[in-house]
Amino acid sequence: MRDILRLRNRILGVIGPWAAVGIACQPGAVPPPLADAVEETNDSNGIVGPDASDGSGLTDAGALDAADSLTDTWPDADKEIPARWRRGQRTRERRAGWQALSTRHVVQVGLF
Amino acid sequence: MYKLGCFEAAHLKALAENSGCPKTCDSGKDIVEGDAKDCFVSYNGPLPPLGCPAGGYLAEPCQTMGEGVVQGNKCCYSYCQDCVCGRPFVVDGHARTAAATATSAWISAVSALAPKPSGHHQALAAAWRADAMDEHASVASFFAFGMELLACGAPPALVAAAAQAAAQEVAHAQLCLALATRLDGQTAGPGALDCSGGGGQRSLAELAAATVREGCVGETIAAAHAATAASHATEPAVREALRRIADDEAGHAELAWRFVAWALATGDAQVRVAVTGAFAELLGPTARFVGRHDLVGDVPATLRAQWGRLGPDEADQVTRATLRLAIAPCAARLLTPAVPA
Repeated sequence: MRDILRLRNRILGVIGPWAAVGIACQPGAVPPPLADAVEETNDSNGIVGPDASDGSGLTDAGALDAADSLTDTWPDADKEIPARWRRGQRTRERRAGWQALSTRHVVQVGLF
Repeated sequence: MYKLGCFEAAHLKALAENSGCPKTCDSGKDIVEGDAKDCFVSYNGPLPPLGCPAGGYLAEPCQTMGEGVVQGNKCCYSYCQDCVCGRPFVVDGHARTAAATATSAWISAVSALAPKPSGHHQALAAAWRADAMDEHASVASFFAFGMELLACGAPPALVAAAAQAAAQEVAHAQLCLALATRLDGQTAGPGALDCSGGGGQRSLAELAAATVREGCVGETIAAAHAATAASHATEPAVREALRRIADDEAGHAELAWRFVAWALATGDAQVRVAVTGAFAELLGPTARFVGRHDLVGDVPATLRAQWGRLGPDEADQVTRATLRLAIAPCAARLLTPAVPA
């Protein structure tokens, strides 16, 4: 499973377009491998949204590293994130997206 | 291993309706097991001599079929049997491999031989040697792909990647043959490969659709199989070889996806139609894939894992998981227009 998800991340990384790595996790759990990459955290529900400070999303390398790290941490992170954020969307919309994901209470990862 | 199967119209019609009748096929023969006449017939497309059903309509085990070619009153398909063939060398719709010959030229350094090869060891060696022949043919495939990339004006990064992939396939063939030789002590390898007619110029749409089949799907699955086999292999040389092959094949899959993305971005509407159709065939309910598990089906699981071969059930699980978790979402992303910021 982990190998397949890593493969998917490699392919997604080269075909784009994508904006960021999205992670939803159990309330209160912040993925440790992503701590350095996270620029924006909604502490109220434990949802973490990595985002570059200029709002343009993570770099290619940063996003792929983060996706691989998360896959290593939670090999069962096989759920597709049901929504998409695109480069340049406003932070408020992105936060609303993270909020919606928090209800799923599962670990998810994806480039979107 | 790529085979050539030819089917008469009646058999094609029964195969194409996909009712779940047991069926099989073999090289150059018209074999349909089960009672085809009891199959519900719903396929209304062309049959020979007017045309051939798309390979995706035909059910297992004749899978990963390319376009059918009318030959008299039959349709002939090249298809991948007993393997998830990575990048085949296809000329005029048919995949080519070299015939095996007694040569040690393609065998890289071999460490200690298996002390006394058993029947199981010979079966494992046959599987590795068959892989080597496919890898050898993939060298020609990537050279031909590089020429077609040049012909359609692809950017230098893609052309360079195709050249690099060809060199990697040389190494893969050598690695696979070394493992086969360790198992059975035989020195056999590929003879001359008929490359006549290779590197023909197809339209961008045709090339993109073929790349979906052979690269985006075939090589992505091949990479997943190799990675899984590597994770189970207990023989150090096998594990090392499979890790290298898995990483390289993942790179080849990336090249395929990058090329198709470029073709979609630069080509006309026909490219999108061709790519969408190819993914629909391979990800649709009629698509089935098989692995090279029959060659080692009788080998005990522990010995099979030691020597880096997946069993039938495991290969099928990896294939399905790769289609669901990797290929389908990537295809959806590839075919989804970007949303303006």
